[in-house]
Amino acid sequence: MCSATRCATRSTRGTPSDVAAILSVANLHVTYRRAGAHIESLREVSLDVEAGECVGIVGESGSGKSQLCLAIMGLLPADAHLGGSIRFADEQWLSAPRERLERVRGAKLAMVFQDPLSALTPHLKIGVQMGEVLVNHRGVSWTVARAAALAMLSRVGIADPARCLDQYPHQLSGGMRQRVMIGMGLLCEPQLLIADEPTTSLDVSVQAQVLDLLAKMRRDFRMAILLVSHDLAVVAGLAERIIVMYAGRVVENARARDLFDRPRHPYTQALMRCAPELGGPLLARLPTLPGQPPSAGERLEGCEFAPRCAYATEHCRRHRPALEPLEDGRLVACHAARPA
Amino acid sequence: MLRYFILRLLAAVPTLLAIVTISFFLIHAVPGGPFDQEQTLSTQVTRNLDAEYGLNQPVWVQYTRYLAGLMHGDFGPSFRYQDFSVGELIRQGLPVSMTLGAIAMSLALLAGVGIGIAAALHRQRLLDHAAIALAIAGVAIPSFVLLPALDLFFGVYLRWLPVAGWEPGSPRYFVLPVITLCLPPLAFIARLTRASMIEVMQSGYVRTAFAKGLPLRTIVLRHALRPALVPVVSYLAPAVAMTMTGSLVVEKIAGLPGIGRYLVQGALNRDYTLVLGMVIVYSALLILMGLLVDLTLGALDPRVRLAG
Repeated sequence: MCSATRCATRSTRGTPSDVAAILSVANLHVTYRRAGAHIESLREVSLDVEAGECVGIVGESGSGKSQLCLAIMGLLPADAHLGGSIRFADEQWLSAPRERLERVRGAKLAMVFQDPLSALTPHLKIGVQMGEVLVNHRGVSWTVARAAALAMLSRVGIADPARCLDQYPHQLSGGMRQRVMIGMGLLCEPQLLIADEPTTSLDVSVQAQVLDLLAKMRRDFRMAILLVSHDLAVVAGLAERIIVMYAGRVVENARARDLFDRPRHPYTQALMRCAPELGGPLLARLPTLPGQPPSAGERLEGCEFAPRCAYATEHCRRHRPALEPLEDGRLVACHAARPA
Repeated sequence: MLRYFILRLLAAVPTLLAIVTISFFLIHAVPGGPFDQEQTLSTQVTRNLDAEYGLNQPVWVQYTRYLAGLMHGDFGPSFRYQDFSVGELIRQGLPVSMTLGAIAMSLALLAGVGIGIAAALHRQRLLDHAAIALAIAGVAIPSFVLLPALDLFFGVYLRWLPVAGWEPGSPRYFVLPVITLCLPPLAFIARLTRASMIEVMQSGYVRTAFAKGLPLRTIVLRHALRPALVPVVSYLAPAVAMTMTGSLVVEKIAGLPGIGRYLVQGALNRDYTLVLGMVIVYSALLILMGLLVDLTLGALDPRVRLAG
């Protein structure tokens, strides 16, 4: 199944398969054993991110987006059991020794977190928090690191970077903090930046600025981005490919254009219906998706989305649909999307 | 900062005055007097003694006289140690108790924080279990059991250290009392540090530090330690004041000339001036430590703003 996914993913871009995937996740499982129960937070997750590509991951809370990010970073809690494979820069990442992870994390592979206030150390000045990345990975002196941090701060659009270096996180605005987080991630020019809900804690106007910044930095640094959001609109502007997750599984993986033109998985369709439309009636009630996703401890025999799906049949409830390619190359895990 | 410090010191004056006042009337309200236990004394002698020490005056007159003395740094005569003033007693004993307490607390802080961090990083493993066992033992074993046991082993069997006694300038006499004194706060600090370290290591900014690829050592020392120390520092104010004013049990068993016995004995003997003197020393130390703790907390976390 893993090789099928990979081929299919490649073909969606219409490029020969020699385009190297910088990140390749295959059949990833993450389980926790807590209070005697097996809790699966990720099930059979496979995806590729090519060099320089921006991939969006969308799904509601609890769909496993953040678990996926942390698994890629090697930051899952110690009691997580991982199965499958994660390859980063052609290196088996899942079984890599701790020293190797430390060498790559923060250098080739960086991450921006959701809430920059709690993700920055409250008692250290920005200059120290940024500088230590370079001191640690590049072995440069603090003076050099500080100068590089200063340059980076102005690149990410901080108005008074010299002052910012000597400030503490709580003295900055939310938008500035997220700019600092992004700048901190870019200091070593990573090949892949994982941004987990980078705009969720920000005002709407600041959200747009931060997304613009991510787009600009992606061009400047020619890096791949894995952009995670519960909000389709956030990933729409940036991502070339979008992966929709539900209950720890990938349910649809398609080129952004294809996905927005014609979502094929009923869950994707429901997500798009729930998004407000520009120019739509102002006071119209937004449709909502009734029901709850299955809890992480629950194990359904059939499709996890079936209980909330308008098209679900008895067949759906009995047999889980595999993630398989459609005629346009996208991957969908739904019986209804594929005429039998 | 300096302004804050001075303001806090000034604010300590009314606090101390209130403490002195309440303590004064409380101890005088307790039935009995300093000379009641000397049953051999005739009524006439007792009456003469009362007159000599001003105890036949109304309480508020005694109070104003005591305050007037305090203003001149005079803690008054001791009722029990009749050749000494309270000031002399405290001046002689305080350095011994404070030295002992300061060494014990420094040890407790260093070892307690170290053990707490190690336990937090080895959670649910052998080292952690050993640390928890030590913490329980440290809190559970009373000093009147621990010190004699140490005396027996190191003093009587091994003959490494003196069992009791005191010689100025000879640290050998300090070793066993210091170990006994430092164990309870050490155990408590280890437990506090472990708990707050575990919490901090799960925080968002520590996760960021891991995501930056920093080595564990840097993460613990630079990112996690300072916030993890906040509850420990808060605990230090009462603990230091307590330890530095001496321990009745330890000083009694080890035969040390500290001030640990004065508070309890003074209260039992209705040695009014001695009790009040001890209360003042203890309160002043507590207030000073509280101020130092607040300043330290400000240094640990830049979000703490010191407002005078």
